[in-house]
Amino acid sequence: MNDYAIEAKQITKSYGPVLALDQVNLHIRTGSIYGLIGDNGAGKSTFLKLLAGHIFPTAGELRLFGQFAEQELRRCRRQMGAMIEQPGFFPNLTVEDTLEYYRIQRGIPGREKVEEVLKLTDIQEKRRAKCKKLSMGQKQRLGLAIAMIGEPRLLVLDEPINGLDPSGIIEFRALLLRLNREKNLTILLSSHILSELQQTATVFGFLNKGKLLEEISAEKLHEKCSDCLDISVTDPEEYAALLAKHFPEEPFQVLPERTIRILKCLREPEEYSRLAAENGLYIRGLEHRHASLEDYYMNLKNGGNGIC
Amino acid sequence: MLNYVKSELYRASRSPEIRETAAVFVGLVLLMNIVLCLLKGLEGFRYGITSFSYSNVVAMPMIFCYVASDVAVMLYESDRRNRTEQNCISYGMSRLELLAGKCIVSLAVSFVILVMILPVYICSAELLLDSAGPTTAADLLLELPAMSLIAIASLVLANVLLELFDKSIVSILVWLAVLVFLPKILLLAGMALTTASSTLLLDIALWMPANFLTAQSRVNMSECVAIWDTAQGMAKCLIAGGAEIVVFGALGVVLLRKREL
Repeated sequence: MNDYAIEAKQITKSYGPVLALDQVNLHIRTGSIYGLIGDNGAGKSTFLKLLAGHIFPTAGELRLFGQFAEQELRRCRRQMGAMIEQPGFFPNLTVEDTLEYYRIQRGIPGREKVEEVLKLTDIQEKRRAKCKKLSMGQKQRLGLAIAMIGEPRLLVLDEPINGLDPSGIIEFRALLLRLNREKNLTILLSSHILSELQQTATVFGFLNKGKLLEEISAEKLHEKCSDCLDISVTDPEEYAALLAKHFPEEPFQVLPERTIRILKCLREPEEYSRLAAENGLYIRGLEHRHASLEDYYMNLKNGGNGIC
Repeated sequence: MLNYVKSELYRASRSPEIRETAAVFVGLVLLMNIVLCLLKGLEGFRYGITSFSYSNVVAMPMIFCYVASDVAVMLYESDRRNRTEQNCISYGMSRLELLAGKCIVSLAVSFVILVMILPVYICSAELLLDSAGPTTAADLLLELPAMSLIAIASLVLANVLLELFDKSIVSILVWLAVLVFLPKILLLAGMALTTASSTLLLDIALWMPANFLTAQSRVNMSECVAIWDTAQGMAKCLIAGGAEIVVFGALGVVLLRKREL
């Protein structure tokens, strides 16, 4: 069995002179939840469209469950549920008829499957409503129901929580985690809401201007984003020299506004105060902070190594 | 592809648009015959006869192309905008399977609509109007096989163009250009030019349905001579329709195989 549900090898996609994806190498293990992060125009949707076969790569190789030939890719897509950009449905059909339409199209025997996905995505109450009458959040749920009706092994969702209300987001997150846990479903998510991805994904991929900056597991990211300490001091240059001399095992960064950030904080805050006081410097403030995915992403995007 | 066709037929059966379109067509033919019936009592009104009613369709065989293509437009013009086409591709259908499926479904729906219209048309004409004149129901019924392949070809072209262009209006204009305006331009050019190639141009133009269906038929209040009345004419209709299906189908394969959505 192939370890990877998705592998992209040197995938490039250009639209005339515009390079939407530039030699992207990306690996998504079977059973993982992969969060694809990037600004607008970073290439997230382009990558998802390539996966779904809406567009074709200019160069490089895309593998789904280890297969890469065009015909095999199409066969593998039958094991994939996708919702890219917006959910697709017929405005004048009811929710129930829409799901029945896709059940027939995907050759799923028995109408029970329609009931199952209606229940799974919690839109039973809207079963007789025409799709055009649904709210944004209900449309997203319908999109997920359509993606799930083919009993996929891989779920590809582009900005899936757009339009969901706070309780909807919580339910949606719980649903994805449950599907991943119970059905070993591999999930690829793209989102702008990084805090949401941080609570769901097990692996992150950072795209910027068509390039994949880094792939990192949630554990590794947590390690890298561990607690740090911001010290506001009267003379940061001198204090930095002191830190390098006395606490050489602790990496730090000099930030604007006379602040020094200790990235790997190994001591109690008093020790940093004492070091300053003994050398005639004044500490104006000490603040513990836990770096977020946003901090990590922004740092990576701005050319840092990701450490916040 | 079979599952796609089944799902689309399910959609057609559940969509109000199809029922409304069928109802509009049925209503129109019924209305025409009712109006003719109401007016036939007027002095000097010659058109309250079955021949006039039938001749409206027999003299304009391209109407089958318009109706078939209208069905394709109605079914698929919003397919990309609604992102339902993208769903099919995401699920592993090839673009050619999708095109073939759409052609089959549009054909099936057109056929169902035709089956609904014809009995209403013929029965209402026979019941409400006087049976007189050169054009009979038999002429109308013989028109069906003659126009079958030509109508299918126009439906294939409509589906190819709807896939090819993002805006439906562009597809409709190109469809009209290819099936109506281009044949007329070629015919005029063939007749006007005096070069050696103009004969060839004229020959080609006269194999185009929009030209030969009108040039080789005379349907009016005093006579009904349709091209499909002779075996040769019927064969011409079928050959031209078959050739168009091949050409438009091949065009679809070439243009849509790698079409990006």
